[in-house]
Amino acid sequence: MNLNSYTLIVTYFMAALGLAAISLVESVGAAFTLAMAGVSAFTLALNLKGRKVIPGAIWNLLAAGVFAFFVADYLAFSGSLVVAASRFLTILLVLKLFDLNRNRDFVIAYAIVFFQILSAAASTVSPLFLLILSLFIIGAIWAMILFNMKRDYQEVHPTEKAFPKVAFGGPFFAYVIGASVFSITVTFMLFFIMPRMEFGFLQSKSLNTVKVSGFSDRVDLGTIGPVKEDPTIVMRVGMDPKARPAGLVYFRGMTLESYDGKGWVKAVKDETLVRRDTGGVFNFERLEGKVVEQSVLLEPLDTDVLFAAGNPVSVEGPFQNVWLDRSGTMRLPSPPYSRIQYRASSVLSPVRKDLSTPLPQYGDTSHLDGSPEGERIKALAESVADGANGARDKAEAIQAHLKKNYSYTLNPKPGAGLSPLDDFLFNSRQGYCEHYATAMAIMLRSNSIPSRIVTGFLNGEWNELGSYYIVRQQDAHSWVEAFIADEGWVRFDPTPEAGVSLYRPSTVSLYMDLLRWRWNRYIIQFSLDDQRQMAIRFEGVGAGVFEGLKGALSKKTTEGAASPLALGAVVAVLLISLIAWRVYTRKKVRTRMPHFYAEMLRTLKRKGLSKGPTETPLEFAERTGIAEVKDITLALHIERYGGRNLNEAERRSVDAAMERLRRSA
Amino acid sequence: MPEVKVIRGKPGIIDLAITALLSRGHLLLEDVPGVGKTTLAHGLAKSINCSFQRIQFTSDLLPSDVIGVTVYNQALNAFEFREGPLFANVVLADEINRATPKTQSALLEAMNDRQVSVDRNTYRLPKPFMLLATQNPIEFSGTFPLPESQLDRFTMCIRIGYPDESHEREIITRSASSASAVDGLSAVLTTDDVERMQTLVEKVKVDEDLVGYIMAIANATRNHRSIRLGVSPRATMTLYKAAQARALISGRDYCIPDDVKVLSVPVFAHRLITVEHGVDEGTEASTAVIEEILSSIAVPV
Repeated sequence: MNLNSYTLIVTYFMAALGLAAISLVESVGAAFTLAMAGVSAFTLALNLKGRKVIPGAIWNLLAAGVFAFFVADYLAFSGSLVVAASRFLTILLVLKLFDLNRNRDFVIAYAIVFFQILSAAASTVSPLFLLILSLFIIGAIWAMILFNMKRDYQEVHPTEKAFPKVAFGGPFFAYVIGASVFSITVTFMLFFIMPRMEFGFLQSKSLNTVKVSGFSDRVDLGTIGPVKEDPTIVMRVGMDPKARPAGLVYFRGMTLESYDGKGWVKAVKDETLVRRDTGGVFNFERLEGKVVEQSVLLEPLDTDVLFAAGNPVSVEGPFQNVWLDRSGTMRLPSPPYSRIQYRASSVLSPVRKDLSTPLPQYGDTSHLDGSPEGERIKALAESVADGANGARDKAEAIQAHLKKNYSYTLNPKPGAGLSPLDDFLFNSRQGYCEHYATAMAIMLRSNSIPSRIVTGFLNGEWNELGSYYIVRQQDAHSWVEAFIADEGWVRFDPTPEAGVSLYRPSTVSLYMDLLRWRWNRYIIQFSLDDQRQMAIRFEGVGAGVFEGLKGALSKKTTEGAASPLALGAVVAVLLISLIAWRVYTRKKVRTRMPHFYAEMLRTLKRKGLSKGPTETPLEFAERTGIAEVKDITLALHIERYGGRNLNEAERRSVDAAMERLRRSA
Repeated sequence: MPEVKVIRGKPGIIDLAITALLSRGHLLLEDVPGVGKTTLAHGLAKSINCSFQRIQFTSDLLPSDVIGVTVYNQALNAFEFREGPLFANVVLADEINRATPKTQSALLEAMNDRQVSVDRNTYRLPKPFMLLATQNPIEFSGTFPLPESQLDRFTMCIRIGYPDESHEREIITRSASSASAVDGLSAVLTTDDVERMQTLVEKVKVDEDLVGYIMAIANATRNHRSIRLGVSPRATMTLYKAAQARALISGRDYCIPDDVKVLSVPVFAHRLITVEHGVDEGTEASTAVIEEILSSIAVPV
């Protein structure tokens, strides 16, 4: 293969990476990406045959046209800068592939790919991106080497049109990979070491927020149903596996207390503003019980509600202040619209020990008054609770009744002309969590027990590999809290077990999600705090190493005290210093020796002839007594000391001499 | 024109002599009598068609005997400068170490600035000007060894050495047939040619790494434990120029490491003072030291 074909291969490899990166950008469209890939393949065929379709002048015009399309795309169609820019860059790249002519064109193509990668980086959180980026670095280094070789060749042979045949062996690719690994390592080190700012210049609102239902000031009955089959991930909640409760975990969202016959409304304005303490933590009221820590990675949602398991006691995260109401609902001043990471501590007990007398709104049944349906519900409530003594027993009776006599379905058939609750209780007798919870809350109120609705998520799937819960839209749930005198607010869940989506995810998907979680957690959401944590941990390791060394030196150490971690760290430090030393010393003896001479020395070395460092090239040539060596030495003199590039004839004779030498060796 | 050879079996010596000539230098020939020192000087002068003077140095030789003297011209009623034997293109100062230091020093100005000053008047020497001095390292009674300052002004110090057996046989047989081969030499260059070549020498390209190589060798002589006095900056300058001249003679317009390496012994050896410096040693000890240094300094490739 000649040099030009190699350059083409690398260029198309890079273009493929650019397209792959663009395909990661949400809402660019698979059809668009595929179409562009098809056109690119077509250009490859053209380029291999050496045909030009678009001359440079027209290219500029087309590029201007594409730019106009970009503006139109941004303003009229996609409305998103990232999406429009991605499309713009992709079309530009494909156009450039039609016009790969001069060296400059290749550089422009690489630059476009670079910007494609950049725009993908701005909008994707896919771990696949890491792979693409790594390949891009390898490809870029390869392309740069080839590009330089090509340019050097053209400088030396300005009249030549064709390119020489070249073969790249293992050492070349080993070098390319090595250089890439080195630069990736350095990049990662920089990534983790560079001071992190808590605000971003380019922190854009995420492209696609997840539309969640049930977390706003008004929740109509029947809104949760449609999302119960949506597997979109809403959040991931990391938890210490030892602290994880045995049963289901209720991730609490918000509470609503006023029912108007069609839906629930949060009418009580009892939120207070919580400010962070000096440690950056928002502390709420103290609750009794064991506190469980969680680390929540919340996907971009269109709600301002923060989620936590059980009853939260404190939260810490990238927000200025938090609103908290008496029922324990945490809300932000505005929806974050971007992925956020926060830590929360909660008490998982089903009882919220808040003994203050509930507001009258929690017992309000006014919408039942004066209508036959209302009276029917009241009558049912009383008959179910009949025979039970005390609020708790009554509540349990109602819960049992609902669980037993109503069937769970995500698609209840609504009866004509009936209110949703009436329909559920007396007509269809089927529904899902919202219906059960609403029915129970109203029936509790009919028995003069204050109650409220809680919306949130139920359990999700536990990923043991990374010790976290994966919570999806389909885990959305609502339940009831009833005020029991002397106990506080007690959680009741009248929905039958069928309403809990329990399934065993495959190990592969768990691994994939673990990868995504780690990527989000340690790359995308890597924060100043994490850096501090890491520094503390490293300090610990460093101190461990130091202690270990001290112990080893003083020989006072007890057996087994030297930690393997410390030993590993010492080895790592030694290795790194060795590499650094090698790199440093190698830099110092940089040489301007022409390639052909170096190659000749290598060839002769294989024959057992090597030039001493204090031997001049001429002395060496005379010592070998080989005519070819003398010829090559003469060429070396011209290029190395004469400061003149070899002319065509000289270069050819050097190549010929080299060839003869190789053959004899 | 028949080829005439006056120096047999010593092509390196002739190259060195021409190198010294083209780098505007002077040559010190250090050897026992009868190996062809005078023949070399005479031959060189003949080949470039220029004036040649031979001064036999003795202990009673005065500076005026060399430089010239101011005499009163009665006819003109004025003092007049009579040029001494120094006013020639090639001057052979035979057995220079026999003259007194006073006479030896009279040559300093001539060697350095190519001019002489007598009674406040400065007289320019002809161009090109080259001094070839010989000294016998074996004879010591009644000799005055050259001071370091004067040794430093000689571009090179070379030893001709004995010819090998076959050449000596040839020399013996040939000398019997033709009494003076030097007379048979014809000029191949004019003095103008020599001057032009001297200017060309200055344009020969020297790679900066070769300058580094020269400096590395010079530094090594300054820090070597068996050398008491290393080479001066004048010496490194001289080596640089000599290397340029050698490149030109070899038909190159650029220097190669060999130019420096080959010339460092003849250019540096006589300037060093080794720790075991003895009067009877000549440059043998310092030649060995420089060769040792050369075998320890990496050649820039």
